[in-house]
Amino acid sequence: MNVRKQLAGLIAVALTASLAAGCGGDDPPAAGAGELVFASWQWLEPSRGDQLWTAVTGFQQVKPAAKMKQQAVARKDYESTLKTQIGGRGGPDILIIPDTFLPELADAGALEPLDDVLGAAEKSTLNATSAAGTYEGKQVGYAWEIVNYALFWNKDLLAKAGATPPTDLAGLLAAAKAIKDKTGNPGFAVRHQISEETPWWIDFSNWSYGFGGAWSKDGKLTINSPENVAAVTAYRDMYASGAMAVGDDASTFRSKFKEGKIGMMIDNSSALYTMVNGNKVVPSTGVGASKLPFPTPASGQAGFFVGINKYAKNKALAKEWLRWFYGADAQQRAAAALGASVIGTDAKPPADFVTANPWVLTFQAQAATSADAVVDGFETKTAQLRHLVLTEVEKVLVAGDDPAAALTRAQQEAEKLR
Amino acid sequence: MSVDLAPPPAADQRRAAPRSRRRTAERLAPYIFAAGAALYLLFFTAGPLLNGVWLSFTDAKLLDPTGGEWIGAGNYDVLFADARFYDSLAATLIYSLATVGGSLVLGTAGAVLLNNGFRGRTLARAILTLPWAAPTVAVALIFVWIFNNDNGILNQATEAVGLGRHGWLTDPAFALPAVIAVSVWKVFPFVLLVVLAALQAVPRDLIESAVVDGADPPTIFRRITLPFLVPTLRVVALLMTIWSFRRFEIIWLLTQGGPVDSTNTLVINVYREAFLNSELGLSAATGAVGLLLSGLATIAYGIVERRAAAKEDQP
Repeated sequence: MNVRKQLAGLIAVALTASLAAGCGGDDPPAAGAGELVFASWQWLEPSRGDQLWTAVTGFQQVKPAAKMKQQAVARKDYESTLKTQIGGRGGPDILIIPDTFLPELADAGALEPLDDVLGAAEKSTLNATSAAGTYEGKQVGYAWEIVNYALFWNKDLLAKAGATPPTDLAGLLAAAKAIKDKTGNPGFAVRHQISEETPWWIDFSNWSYGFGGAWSKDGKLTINSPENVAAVTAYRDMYASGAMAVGDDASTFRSKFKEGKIGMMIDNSSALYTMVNGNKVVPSTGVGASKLPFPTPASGQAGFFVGINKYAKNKALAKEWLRWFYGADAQQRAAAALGASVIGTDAKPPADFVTANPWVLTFQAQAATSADAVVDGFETKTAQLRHLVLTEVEKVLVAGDDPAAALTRAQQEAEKLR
Repeated sequence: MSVDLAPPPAADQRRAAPRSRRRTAERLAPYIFAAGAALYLLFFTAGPLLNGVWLSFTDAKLLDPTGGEWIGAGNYDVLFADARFYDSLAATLIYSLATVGGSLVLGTAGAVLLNNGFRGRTLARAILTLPWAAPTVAVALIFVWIFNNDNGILNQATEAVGLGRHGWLTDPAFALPAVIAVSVWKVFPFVLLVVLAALQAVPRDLIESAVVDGADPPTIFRRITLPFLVPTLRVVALLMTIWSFRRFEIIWLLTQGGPVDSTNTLVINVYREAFLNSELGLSAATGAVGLLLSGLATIAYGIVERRAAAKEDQP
């Protein structure tokens, strides 16, 4: 009897407690108060991560009751981690969204529409970059940064090899071989392995676009176009030259460049800044940069947008943060922290930043002719197309397949996608 | 004088009730003890398993896992029509057979060696079991460096002996053997430990008699030791096979299924479809095929066990 009474008492207490907790959990936080979880891989970047975090948490000075918290996820696991969290109706409040990820999130209705979030004053300062943050006519993200690509080199290694900065593919091959022969270091590095599929796709688009190619045109896939075949052939020639850092992933060859052990790279401005910032071996002024050494001035770009998770716990506060972030003061801070990138407004990095990093202007100039790696007309299928194309490119590199035949296989497989 | 030994009726009734309750409790006890584990399995194994099979008949996406619609065998049609699925199946079978075979041979040989008395045996046991204890992520990252094309110690060694440099993880001809080698290195200590324990059950007097009769060590191993080890090896082989079918982390960390899908086992495909392509339904269908493979391995084990038992029962 006593046991029954005790058990009944326990159940009653547990039920009351869980009901109370449940009710408490549904209470919205007071306006302007609460925690904002902000997801990005960039918080992990040495030095720049801290600068960026300082820039975005300036919000806490105007809203002391708001507490911002980082969700730092490594770049290569970023999309899969967020998809899992958002699929479980959770995830961060605010997130940085890579351009290739945005259509998938938007198509699944996982992003909060932002059309009415910014006021007229903030909207008037936006540049054209945020146009790519729309999906089916709705604004679901605003530009965080557009990162451009260029060719850059270690001036010291190039001089030791007696090579001149290349302006075409033949020059690139010759300079890479000279560096390898004279210094023993790889002359060139770029991503080339399926183990880095997501970022490799963006990197590889430089070759396709640089040779005048595209992945689709007028709603049709153009994977095996002559321009893309030429791009894969050039890429294969570089890979097989014996002068490229074959087998190194990006973190490895970037570390090597930082240590002065790689001659040239095609990579983005954020990566370059992280490599040379505070580096005594390869200082920023020891790096030269130019447009890509390909037939056309076009290049790839990595566009990153800032959006709000539909399942955010604190949506109102997240929108308040967004309004603050696209104000003049916050944008100036963002421009200083993001340095060489093009941001959502025309705010520019401080003049001394450009003086200290003269290559910045080369990257920024690429903005006029760069394009993202999303396959137009097949936005939500970009991930599958990416895997098909890169698997075939890999066959060209490591199995000696013919570029035209490989891309034709990719085209045929891509057309079968449902 | 007669003595009535029967208890008074009231006392009998008082005793009968607790006895009956005790009997009921005794009958229920095994179920109660097993209930915890059964509930755990039901919620955390059977539930997700059935949910996975259900998902394989839907077009669910990772970003909306509960929003999939029933598409019948659509995912299986896509899977079985894709040549890459058969490549993946082949990679899984080759990987599993080689890993299980390699680790059984190495583990058994190591156990037999360590079962003999020699100086430094304790240290040798500790060293040989280290790979099993080492964290898989750390092991994989170290091997990535060992296999590195430019700076890897393996290429420096092969070059030094005139065998040239190879793309251990970048060349499709070498990637699967490299992944298998790392897997065998990582898991063979498990076989070693289990076989070492089983070796303690081999009667010493039988071995000593064989020695007296002039049998050489290979004959002793083949005729005396091995028959005692076979039941243990069968169980270990089953476990290793199932674990090999579903091993993910070593392969993912070394090659992510590349190059050219040469190490793209079914489990890598499951991950790729679910987390890179967001095709949860297709991923579940691939997982169901993997489950079928594990089931087949278990059935094969059951058949072999039954035949062995029948053989033992024969007069």
